[in-house]
Amino acid sequence: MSARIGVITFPGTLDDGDAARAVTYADAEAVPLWHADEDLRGVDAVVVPGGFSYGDYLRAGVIARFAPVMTSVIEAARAGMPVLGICNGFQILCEAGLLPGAMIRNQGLHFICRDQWLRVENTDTAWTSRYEQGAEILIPMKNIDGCYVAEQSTLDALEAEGRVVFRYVGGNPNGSRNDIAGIRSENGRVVGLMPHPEHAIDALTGPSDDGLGMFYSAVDALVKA
Amino acid sequence: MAQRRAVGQSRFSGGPRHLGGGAANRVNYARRVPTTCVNKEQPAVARVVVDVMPKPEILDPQGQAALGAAGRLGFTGIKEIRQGKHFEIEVDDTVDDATLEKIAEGFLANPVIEQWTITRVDA
Repeated sequence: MSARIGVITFPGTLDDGDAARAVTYADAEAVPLWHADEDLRGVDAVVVPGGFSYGDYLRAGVIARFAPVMTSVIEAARAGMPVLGICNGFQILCEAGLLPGAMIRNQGLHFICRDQWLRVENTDTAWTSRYEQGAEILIPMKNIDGCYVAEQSTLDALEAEGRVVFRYVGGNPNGSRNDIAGIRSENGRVVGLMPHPEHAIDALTGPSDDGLGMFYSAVDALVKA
Repeated sequence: MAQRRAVGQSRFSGGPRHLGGGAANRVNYARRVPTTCVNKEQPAVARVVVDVMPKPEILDPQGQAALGAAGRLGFTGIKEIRQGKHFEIEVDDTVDDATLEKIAEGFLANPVIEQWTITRVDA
């Protein structure tokens, strides 16, 4: 039986289609989840995809964080379910307190849309076990609120505990503290990143297939579980 | 060949029907105002202002852009601009200060990056 990975759709979500496609590419079953529904439909893992949930009104991710489906996701994540937040999904996981820190407007104020090199800094997570430590991957990024910030003590803890999962290489695009592009929870089950692995799963439609490793990693984690 | 009509002349006899009828057919909107609201006691409403600002140690790229633009526009003597959010909220008397604090801390502001003040103002 293949792993069942849920993909949430909020009003304003853009990348649920590509996230579901990436899940399918990794030979898992993509299960659509609806923001207004607390039911997680028996999934083994959840992807919170990118976009502009609720128009990014008030703050990116804050209104989505209070959607009924997130109540269940937070509960499941605390019990160890693998959860991946991409872009707006990363912002939602930060607002929900599943990951520390927050995203603010990009330094320079530009909406940045380009293919971005990242270094995989930590492979001890449910979403990065298929990568080699230090591997450099090329995946698209596209956001305006992508500047990762946190208190210095939080940054120090993230670095000390190896919880920085992805770092920008070839120059910091948006002012993120410590060049951080993605982080993980203490137990490595929850990962969030600003760039979009789901857009880089096939050289025909993306800059590489480097992003597919995240979805294969999740499937591995679920098979082992 | 069809005969040319003067501008505004109807091609139907008797004129456009949907405008006919005069005052007798007009809907009297005034009568639709519900009368049940009148003289009913309203709960006391208070105005609350919540101002949310980025923490001093957090970079404020929007404020920095405004500061740069102010200089280019020829305004001198402007040392710093920081941009925040201003919320005006109307609450009834069931909403106490502890609830307002919860709304500000858990929702209107993100304590990781922002600080806030709550002010009750006279309505």
